[in-house]
Amino acid sequence: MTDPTEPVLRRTELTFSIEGLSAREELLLKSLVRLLSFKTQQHWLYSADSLHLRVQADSYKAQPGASICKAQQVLILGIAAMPRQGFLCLPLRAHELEVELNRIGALIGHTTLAAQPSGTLDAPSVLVQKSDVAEPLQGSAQKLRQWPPPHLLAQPSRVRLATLLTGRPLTLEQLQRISGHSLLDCKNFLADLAQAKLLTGGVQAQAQAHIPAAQHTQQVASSSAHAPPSAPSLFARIRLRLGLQTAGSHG
Amino acid sequence: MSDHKILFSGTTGAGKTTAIAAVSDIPPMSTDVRNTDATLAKDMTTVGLDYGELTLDNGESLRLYGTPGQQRFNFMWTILARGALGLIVLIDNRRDDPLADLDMYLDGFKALIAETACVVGIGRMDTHAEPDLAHFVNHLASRGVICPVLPVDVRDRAQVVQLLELLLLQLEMKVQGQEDSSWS
Repeated sequence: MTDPTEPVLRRTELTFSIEGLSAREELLLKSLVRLLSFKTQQHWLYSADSLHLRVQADSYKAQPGASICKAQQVLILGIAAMPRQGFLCLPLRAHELEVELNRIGALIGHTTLAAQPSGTLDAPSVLVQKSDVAEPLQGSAQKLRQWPPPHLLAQPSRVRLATLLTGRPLTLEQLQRISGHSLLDCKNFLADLAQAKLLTGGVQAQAQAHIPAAQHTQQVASSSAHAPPSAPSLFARIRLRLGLQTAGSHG
Repeated sequence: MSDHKILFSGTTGAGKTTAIAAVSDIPPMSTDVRNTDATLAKDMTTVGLDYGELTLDNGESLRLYGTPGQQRFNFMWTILARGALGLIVLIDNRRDDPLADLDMYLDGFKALIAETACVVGIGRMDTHAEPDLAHFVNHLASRGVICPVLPVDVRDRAQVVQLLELLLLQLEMKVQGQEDSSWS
């Protein structure tokens, strides 16, 4: 069966930040972008620290010393007779915004692909195949540095994947095996997390993650007379009672 | 026969009683009294604890405890936390300082969170969007806690079940990690 949301999910996610707009204009802009999100060629999401696109009022003066990513696109909003490339007139009009978002989205994609071999681009490599980005993660155990922002958890399966990565470092293969989700989904999710710099990995993190687990297991064993090996079956029973699938109860 | 327990904690009005009622096999037992606190917009409030349970297929019980919300009852938190499988913290985003509320439970259940698992559910985000999820996530990270943080409506059983499922996933990972390290 075809999932009607699939085309949306496949689009590249790009983020935009907002500087210097009034609260009303900011709200209007965010609302318009959300309304347009089913039409634009990329999936645009607001992020205060976006590296892709900065939308700013023409009167806005950047703070001295503020870091500006050289690959970041800028869209100016202000009062002018006619919109032009990189500039939109207030009040905003949806169709003009759509055209500009598509133009900038394409530009980011082009720039990213062109700059990729040199490795000098500061912006995330958004249009590179996510499976390629995730390739280096294979065999390397990773865990979350912090819980991901909502736009990375748009699919319910990703909430479960993220939860698995809070516990202890996992390789791509382990994540796929334990979660039961497709390798591609796991790869894409890890790639998104890596891009957002939300992963931390290595043996050290794994060792630290095990310490509290060991303490707790002893505590559970002593308090409820459950030896550690029986614990997974306890979880499976609870799942069964809650009417959940047992996919998370790995064996 | 073994019994196991999961705790629901959170401020008064965060929905602990409702969350337990959503999944419990039995009508939850609550030690509610008539609310005399004018700042709380509800008739009854829990001064002791809530209790519900699930009977598993092998006859074991999963006990669901809702801790008293007020900090003055925190001596009970320590007692309830003993031997618990994990903690679900419910935050009421209508309150003045939900991040401070979160801090109270991170401090009160510090050992339980470090040793087991924790899920944070933020209620009333539909009407009170701030602080947003990013604030909660960053706050938790600054406290060294990495756990699921989700908006939740505890009146919806499916959402309460999701909180429990995420708690179980974390626990499984910890237990399996311990098993792996014992083999290596």
